[in-house]
Amino acid sequence: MKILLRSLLILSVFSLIAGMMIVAVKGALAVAASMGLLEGISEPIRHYSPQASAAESEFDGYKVLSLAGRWILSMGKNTFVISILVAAIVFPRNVLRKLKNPRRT
Amino acid sequence: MSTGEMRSAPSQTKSKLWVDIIIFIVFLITMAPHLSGLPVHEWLSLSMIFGMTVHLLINWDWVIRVSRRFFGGLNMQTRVNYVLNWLFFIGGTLIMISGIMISEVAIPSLGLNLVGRGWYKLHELSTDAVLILLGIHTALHWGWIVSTFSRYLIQPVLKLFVARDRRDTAA
Repeated sequence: MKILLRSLLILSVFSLIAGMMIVAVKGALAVAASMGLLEGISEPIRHYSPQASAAESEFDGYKVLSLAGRWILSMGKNTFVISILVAAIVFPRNVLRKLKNPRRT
Repeated sequence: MSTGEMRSAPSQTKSKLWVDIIIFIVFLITMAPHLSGLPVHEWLSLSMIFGMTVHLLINWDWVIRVSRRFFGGLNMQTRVNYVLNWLFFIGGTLIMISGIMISEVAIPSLGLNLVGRGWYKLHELSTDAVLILLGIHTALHWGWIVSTFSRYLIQPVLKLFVARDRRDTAA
């Protein structure tokens, strides 16, 4: 019961923030449209096609290797961004800690 | 702390570790929609609501404790951590909502058509922002990550090798 209530609370906060975002964005878009700021700006054309997706997923050894390589690169890229931030924050903090307490190893 | 509570602390830490590892892997997969395909990307992203809820439930005590004492006796790092976590939550909500608004597979399959202008760019920007916030969140919890990984993943594997060496030596 406790877990259910906490989950509902979390989802309520999520819904509240989501609702506020939707109102804010729609309001901003309406104001921008009325000021003519959206003219000439187009959304990218996105049409998901299950048939095209199925055709692309037909087994081909070369395609599988290429896809695996791109997966590794994509995950590596995102992990690299996170690693840079971690190094940029953790390393100076450790150095400061050692400078403050030189006897602590 | 009672004996029961002491016994449950390591298992809770292990649960936190595995939940966080799964969330991280799912996050990395959802960050590559052109590779995973739109259906996988959209349905997996929607499941992140569940992952986020579980993560918050596991860390509920910390959230409540810090929320109560935010304007009282807390060190600056904890306050910064708390504010960043809120930003992370808001950023994640923005990714989710903008993703729902531009959904082409998951949401239409539920019979809804929510196509809205301007949400695509917002989805891209919020994803970049959350990636940076994830890096900062990871950095602020780095000590915990390293010690928990070492205790629950690396050391058990090393113990297996040591046990095997001892068996081979004894034989």
